[in-house]
Amino acid sequence: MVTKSAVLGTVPEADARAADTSFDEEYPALYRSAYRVAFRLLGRREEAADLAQEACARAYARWNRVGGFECPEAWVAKVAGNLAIDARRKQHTAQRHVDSYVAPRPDDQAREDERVDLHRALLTLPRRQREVVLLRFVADQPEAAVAAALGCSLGTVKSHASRGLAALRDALGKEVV
Amino acid sequence: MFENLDDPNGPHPAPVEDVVARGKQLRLHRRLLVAAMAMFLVAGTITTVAALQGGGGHKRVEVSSDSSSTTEPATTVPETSSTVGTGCTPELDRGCTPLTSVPAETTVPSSTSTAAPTTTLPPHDPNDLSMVTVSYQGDTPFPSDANVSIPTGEERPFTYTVNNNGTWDVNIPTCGDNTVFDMWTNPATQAWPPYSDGIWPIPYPDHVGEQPDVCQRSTTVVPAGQSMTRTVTLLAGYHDSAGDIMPAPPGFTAFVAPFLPQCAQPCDPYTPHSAWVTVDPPIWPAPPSIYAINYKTQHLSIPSGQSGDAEITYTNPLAVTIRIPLYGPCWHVALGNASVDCSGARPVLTIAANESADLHGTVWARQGFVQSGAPLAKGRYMINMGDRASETLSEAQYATWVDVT
Repeated sequence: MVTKSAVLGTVPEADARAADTSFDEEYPALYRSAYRVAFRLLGRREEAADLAQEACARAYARWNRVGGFECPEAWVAKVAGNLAIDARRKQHTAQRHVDSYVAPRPDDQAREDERVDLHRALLTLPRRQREVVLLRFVADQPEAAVAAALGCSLGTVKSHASRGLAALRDALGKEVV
Repeated sequence: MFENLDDPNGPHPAPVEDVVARGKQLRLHRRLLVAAMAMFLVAGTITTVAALQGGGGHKRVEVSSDSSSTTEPATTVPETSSTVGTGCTPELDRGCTPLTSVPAETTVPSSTSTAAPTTTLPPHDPNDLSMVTVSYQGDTPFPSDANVSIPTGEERPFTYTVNNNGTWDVNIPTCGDNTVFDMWTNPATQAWPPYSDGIWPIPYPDHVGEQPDVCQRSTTVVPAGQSMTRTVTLLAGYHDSAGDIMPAPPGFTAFVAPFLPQCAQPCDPYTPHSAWVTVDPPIWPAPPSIYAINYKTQHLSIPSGQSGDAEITYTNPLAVTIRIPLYGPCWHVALGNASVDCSGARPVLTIAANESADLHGTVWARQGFVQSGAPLAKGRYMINMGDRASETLSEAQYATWVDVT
């Protein structure tokens, strides 16, 4: 039956409630996915939590569409990854100054260096390739989920992943899978 | 791969209520934006229809360069310092007003007197800008991000402030308030360093037929110790000869205040005393396709050491002239309003709006598929062609190859 609300393209209250319920159910998994990629790129708990929350809020704002994805975690991971890259780009200069005052613990410093290298390597990739690398290798999403999140074919994902991996290998100077 | 970078304590999800509240806020904002865009499109359509029916062209920003309104600064400047010209064109007249850096000592009359020190300040040239600084809207203590981001094809007001930190008044050349500064970018994929396989083919608008906007030069006096704030308009693109806006490719460039030496667009975002400008992709939905390539010879069969002819047809469905790097041999245009530049690492096709071009290229059954290579042994060799990097392409039906016989 076609209801008036459907004809007008609005979401009926019942549908909205259903959407809320579905988002509530998915939220823990979405948050985990977003937090993982944000923390791996930033290494700061509070900031990663903020970005994960923002990514989830954006998913909620588009839940009618994102909720229909086979793997909404990949979409949220993409958003969190982009936010984290932007955040690090804004902070990297400031951080250099902070570093001159606060001597980090050696263990943290090693990981921070790796994050900086990773961020720098990601920035050298073209946008599409970077998104694939981010989702496939930083967010640990399966290839099919990456393809669905980016709206491209599995073959394209494989192609970009292969090139991106080679670039990461060059940039990070270590064996990557 | 990066498990070692994980948080050992794991995530602690924020309350879902907070996320939902923020999500609702974003949703409302997005709907308002869509509504505004729809109104803008309707207004644009009405304007275009009216213009077409009325026989008028598109609105073009034109500022008279009538020199009669220009204030020539009274100058006592030594020959080494610059003077202010008239009718400066910010896009073309590079260095029309270089920042003078005449040290105060150069204007002090030389004297051999050894009398008691005087308290009279030496006279200062008003064109001595050595104590002038400029700051831009969006400047931060750690300038590592764009001062302004503009969706391609759109205009944004942009503010800069001239600070006179000296003890004398200075003359600052300015453009009229209505001046539009055209921004043109290095496409983002090229602004980043080269990566393993060169440029991934992405079409981007080409910079042809620009009608530069003219700066109506005037001079403003900034008193000692005071500041002057000006607002200009930045356009992420340019007006062509028909008055239409040609959008800039998404990427990076810079804006330099008009009283400083100008840099050619696209301008390096790290240019001294400049503001970083990022041009974002258009906010309207992408067209169904941004290009199409018909591979008339997807597979070639060539005797070893000999050559064969490859042919593709490139169609540009966009309303702007574009450039796109392609894989393959140095293509030449057999038919169509297009050209190919083979001077770089890859052939770059430039093709007019809504045009198709037949491209032919010579492929050699030799190493590197070039005439100078050693003859290839019999067998099948993958070849990158058009937009297909067959070396890494996993779908065999799209792969392009050469069978050497």
